[in-house]
Amino acid sequence: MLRFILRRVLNAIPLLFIVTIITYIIINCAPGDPVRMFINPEAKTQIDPMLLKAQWGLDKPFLVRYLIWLGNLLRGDLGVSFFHGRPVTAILAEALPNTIVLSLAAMIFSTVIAIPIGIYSAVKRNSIWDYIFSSFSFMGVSIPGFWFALMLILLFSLKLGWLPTSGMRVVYDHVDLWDRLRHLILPTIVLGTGSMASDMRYMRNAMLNVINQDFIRTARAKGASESRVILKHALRNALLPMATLVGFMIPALISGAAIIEAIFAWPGLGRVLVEANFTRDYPIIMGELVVYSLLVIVGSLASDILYALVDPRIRLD
Amino acid sequence: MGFKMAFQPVSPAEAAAVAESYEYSDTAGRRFLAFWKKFRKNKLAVAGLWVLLVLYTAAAFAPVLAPYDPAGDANDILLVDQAPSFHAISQTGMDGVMSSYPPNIFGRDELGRDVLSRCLYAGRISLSIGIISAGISILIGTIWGSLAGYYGGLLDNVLMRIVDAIRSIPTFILLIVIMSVWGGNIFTVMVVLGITSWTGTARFVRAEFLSIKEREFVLAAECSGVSEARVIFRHILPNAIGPIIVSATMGVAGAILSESSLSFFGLGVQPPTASWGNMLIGAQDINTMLNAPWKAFYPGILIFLTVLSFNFVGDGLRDAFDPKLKD
Repeated sequence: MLRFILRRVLNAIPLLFIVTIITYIIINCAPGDPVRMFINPEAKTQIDPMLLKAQWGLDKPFLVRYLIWLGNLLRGDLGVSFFHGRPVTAILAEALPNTIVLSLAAMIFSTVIAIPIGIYSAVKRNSIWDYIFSSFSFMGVSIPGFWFALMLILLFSLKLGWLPTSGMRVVYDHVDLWDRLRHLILPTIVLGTGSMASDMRYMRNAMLNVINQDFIRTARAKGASESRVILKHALRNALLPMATLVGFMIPALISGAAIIEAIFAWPGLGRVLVEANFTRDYPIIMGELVVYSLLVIVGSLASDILYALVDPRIRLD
Repeated sequence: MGFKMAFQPVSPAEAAAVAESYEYSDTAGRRFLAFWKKFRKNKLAVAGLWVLLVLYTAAAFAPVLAPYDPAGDANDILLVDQAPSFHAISQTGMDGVMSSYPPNIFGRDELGRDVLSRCLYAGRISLSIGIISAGISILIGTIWGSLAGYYGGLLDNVLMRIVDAIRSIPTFILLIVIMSVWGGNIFTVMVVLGITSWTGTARFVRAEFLSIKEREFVLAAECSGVSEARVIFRHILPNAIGPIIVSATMGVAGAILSESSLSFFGLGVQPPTASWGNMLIGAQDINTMLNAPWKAFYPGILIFLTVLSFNFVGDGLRDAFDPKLKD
C-alpha cells in the first residue's frame, strides 16, 4: 500500500513541473506589457518604466526569469502582487478556504441528492422516473451556470426576497451560522447542479454493473429481501467507484466555482483570478494556476488512494 | 464517378474496382440505414436534431428573419427596454413622423435594439464558434492520440504526460487566463477553445489505438508495405470513428457553453458583435434584472436549448454506435 501511494506521489511531481512550464509560457509570451498597464500616463509624478521592470524582475532573459520563479515557487514564495503590493501567498491563502467551503458544500449537496436518485434509476431502469431523472441530468449539464445563477437571483433574491443576492456574510463581528448558510444556498445550488447531473449518471451505471453480477443473483436466490439485496449487497460495491468520482469532480467544481464566485461576489480564488485578469497582475495569475492544478492533482491523488484503501483489487496493478 | 466509368470500355481490373465500389457503397448505405433505425429509437436525440436544424436554419437566414437591424437605428432610443409583446408599436420617431414598428417578441434592450434580431445574429456567432472550435479540438486530439497510441514508448510517455498536465489545470480557468492575457476576437476564441479542450479526445483515441494496433488486419497492412501514415489514418482510425463523432457532438455543446461564459465575463466575443453570452453582460446589474429580465432570459434559453440538444444528439449517437446495444 505504501509503495502504491509513493508511486502515485512520484508520478505527480513531473506533472506539476510541466504545469509550471505551461503556466509560464502562457503568461510570459503574452502580447502586452504589464508595466504599461500599471503606469498612468496622466499622473503628475511619473515612475520610470525601466525601474519598475527591474523591480519586478522583468528585465532579465526569459529562461532566467523562469528559473528564478520556479526556485521561489519551490520555497513557497509566489512573488508580490503588482496591484496589491502584498505577497501572493497571503492573498491566495485568504481566498482558498472560501473556495474550498463553496466546493465542499456543492459536492455534498450534489452527492446527497445524486446517490439515491442514481440507485433508484438503476433499480427501476427504463421506468418513467428513470427517463425523467435522466432528462433532468441532461438539463443539469447543459444549463449555463452563469445564466442559471442570474435566474435564481432574479427569483429568490429580487422577486421573493428570501435570499441575499451576493457576498458571503452581512454579520461581521461574530460568526452567525444562519447568516453564512443563507449566503451559501444559491451558489451551492448553482455549482452543485452540474456535478449532480454527472453523479446521477455515474451512480446509475455503477449500480447497473453491480446488479447484473452473480453474487447479487446468489443473494436473491438465498432469499434475501429485495431492499437488503439492493442496500447491503449491491450498494456497497456500487459505491466503491464513486470514490474515484471525487477526483473527477474536483476540476469541474473548481472551474464552475470561478464563474459562481464572480457572480455572487464570493471572495474565493476564482474571484481573485478574475480581478487579477483585469489588472494583468501576473504574479497572482501564475500563482493561481499553480494552486489550482495543485488542488486538482492532490484531489485526484487522494481519490486514488481512497479507492485503493477501500478496494484492495486496485493495489495489485 | 463509378457510374460514368461503367459506360466506357474498361479493363477487367477497373471493372472489378467499380464493382467493388458499388458493393461498398451498398453496404455503406445499408449500414447507415441500420444506424439511423437505432438512432431514431432515442426520441430525445431526434427531438434534439430537429431543434438544432431549426436553430441553425434560423441563424443562417438571420438577415431574412430578423425584423430589425441588430445594430439598432436612430429611433431606437425612444423604445429603450421595451417589454416583449406581440403587438405592433406606433411611435412618433425622431423625425416627427408617426410610424408603425413590427412587434418586439423578445423585447428591446438598454440601447433600444430588438432582442430577437440580436439573438438571431448572435446565433450565427455562437453556433459557428461551437462547430469550429470543436473541430479544432477533435483534430488536435485525434492526431495527438493516434501518434501516442501507434508509436508508444517514449513518444507516448511524453505526449501523455503533457495531456495529464493540461488536464490538471481546470479548463475554464485556463480559458479565462489565456483569453485575458492574450486578448481576443472571434477567431482567438475559436482557436483557444479548441486548443484547451482536446485532451479527452486524445485519451480515448490513444486507448482505441492500443487495442487495435496488434490486430491481424493492421499487421497485414504493415506487412504489405503500406505507409505508416496510411496504416494510422486509413486502417486504424476508422475504427474509432464512432466515439470521435460522439465526442465531437458533445464538444460542440461544451464549446458553446464555454464561449457563452467567457463572453459573459467580457473575455470572449467583444461587443458590438453579439453572441448569446455577451448579450447577458448587461444582465449582471440588479436593476436590469428587475426591470428588463427578458434581456437575460432569451439569450440564456437559447444557449441552454442548443447545448441540451447537442447533448441529446450525442447521447443518441453513442447508443447508435454501440455494437453491444441491439435494436
